[in-house]
Amino acid sequence: MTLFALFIVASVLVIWLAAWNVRSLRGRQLLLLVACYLFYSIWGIAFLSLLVASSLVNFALGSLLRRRPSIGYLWLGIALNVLLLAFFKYLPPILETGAPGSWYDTLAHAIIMPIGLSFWTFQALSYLIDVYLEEELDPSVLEFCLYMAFWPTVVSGPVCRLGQMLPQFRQEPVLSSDNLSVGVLRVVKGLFMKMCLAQIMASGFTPGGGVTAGFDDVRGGWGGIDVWLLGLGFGFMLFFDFAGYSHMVIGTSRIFGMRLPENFDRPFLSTTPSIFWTRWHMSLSFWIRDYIYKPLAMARREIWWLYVSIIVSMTLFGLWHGPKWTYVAYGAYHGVVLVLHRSGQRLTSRLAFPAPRVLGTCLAWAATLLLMSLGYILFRANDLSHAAAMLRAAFTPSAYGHFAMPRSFYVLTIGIVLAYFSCAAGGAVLGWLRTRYRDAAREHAPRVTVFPARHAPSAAMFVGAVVDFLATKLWWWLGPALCVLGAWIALAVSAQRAAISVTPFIYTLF
Amino acid sequence: MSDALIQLFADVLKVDPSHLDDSSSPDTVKQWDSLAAMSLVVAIEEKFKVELSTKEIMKMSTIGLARKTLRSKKVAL
Repeated sequence: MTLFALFIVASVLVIWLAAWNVRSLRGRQLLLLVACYLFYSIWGIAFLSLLVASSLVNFALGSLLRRRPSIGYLWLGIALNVLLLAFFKYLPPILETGAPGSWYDTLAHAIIMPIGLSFWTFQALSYLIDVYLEEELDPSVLEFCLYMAFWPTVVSGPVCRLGQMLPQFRQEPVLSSDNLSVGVLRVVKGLFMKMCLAQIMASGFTPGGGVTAGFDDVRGGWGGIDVWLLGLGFGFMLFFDFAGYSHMVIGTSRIFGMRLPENFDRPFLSTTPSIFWTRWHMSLSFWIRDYIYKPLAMARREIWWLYVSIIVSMTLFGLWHGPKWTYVAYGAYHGVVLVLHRSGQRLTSRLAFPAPRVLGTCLAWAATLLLMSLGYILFRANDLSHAAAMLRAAFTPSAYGHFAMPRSFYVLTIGIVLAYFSCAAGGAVLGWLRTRYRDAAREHAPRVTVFPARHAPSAAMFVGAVVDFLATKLWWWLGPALCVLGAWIALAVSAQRAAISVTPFIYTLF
Repeated sequence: MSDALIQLFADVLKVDPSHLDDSSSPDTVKQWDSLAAMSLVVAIEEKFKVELSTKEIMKMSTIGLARKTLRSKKVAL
């Protein structure tokens, strides 16, 4: 991130704060929009013009649909948005396959995709479809432009829905210590996930000991364990990167009293592939579910068609990431996994299959994690032959005696994965202790101050009380959190080659 | 609140009808997943002898909205 970009971000924050003091709703929204456009202008005026043009065209189409929900207008809107996406995102790689130096090759190199295009185009599409479905949405042109260009989400989501954003654009801004504490903590948590965990997993402790080198620089082929660990390691790296980004975006908005849709909900604790897809990149997977899968699946009432719809929807989900066969394979793979899981569910529901519940849950969790790890190989591989070579190693028994990565890679990857699951388990236990404490406290209210008499003294109750205190009095965390944030900004300003510019957020590429 | 529509949702989703009301949606009922959604459509069409278009189905994001759609098709609920 350059000093210029940091200056713009600081200006955006100042304008947003200034907007808080504006009484008139229109005036406040106008100032917010100026801040959003100022932010987007970091990437150039041409991109900004395109965003404004897309916003105005989609607003006009939305107004027509509001007056008359005609399928013709809807298809026109879908076609225009898909064409925009296709031109900038999918056309260049197709043109590049031609002769070097030819006009289409030159054109391919001249087309540069505006940042966040895939995200704000999907927001526009959801608006048009929602209006067609006669949802009560009545944005002004200012509000719609704000929705499309909302600066925390314009670069990489979460993909918002107008129905959720509109009431928030209209509400009186409120400064609350709760919003401030939760927001700052989430920003710091996101920074830690991105700058520390994702960064370390990508580059490793030693040269060649990170996930990136594991995929790109391995000579002499991978061992079976290497492939599984690279898949799992890349999954965690991507999670720390994108969930970290999402924390920062959702936290920043929360500081200003705005709530955005969540993007991740502990996806690696999922016990089935279906559950995983309600917890990973949720704003996009719910978009695909609502606007592609549902209408497609409802076209026929047969189970085989439902399965086809799942595979088609997931393939499109993969293709959304970019024009690469590996993304198509990634999406199709997950479609097939979901269908196999669904058919398995239908089969087992007919059989009385007595298995201990805990054992079954553990097996289902492990199987889901392994299936997801294989999927990440497809996602990250440079091309299909690269993916095939890695998958071949995973399914060749003799490859399991071979280890291609430096020792530090195994220690690092296994260490971070185990630490993550330990933290998740620890968090669950602390949450349980807190609930116990709160239940006990409620039972003894209003006499109780800290420890309910009947339950004290007990170590578990003490831990529950401490956790409850720290979780309730969030502002206690604010001081240390602001120090970390300040230190990071100081570092970013003093060394212009801040970590952000060295490793951009992965999802800004999509 | 337990009526024919709530009972139908409860039967298909295999949940207690007392846990459902007009505001219930896939976000509040975890059994209401994408597979169950299709079973619901088939069950509604069979029970109330109606045919639902894709647009009508897409609008049924809560039990209340399903009720509204069915009433607009002259189903007594």
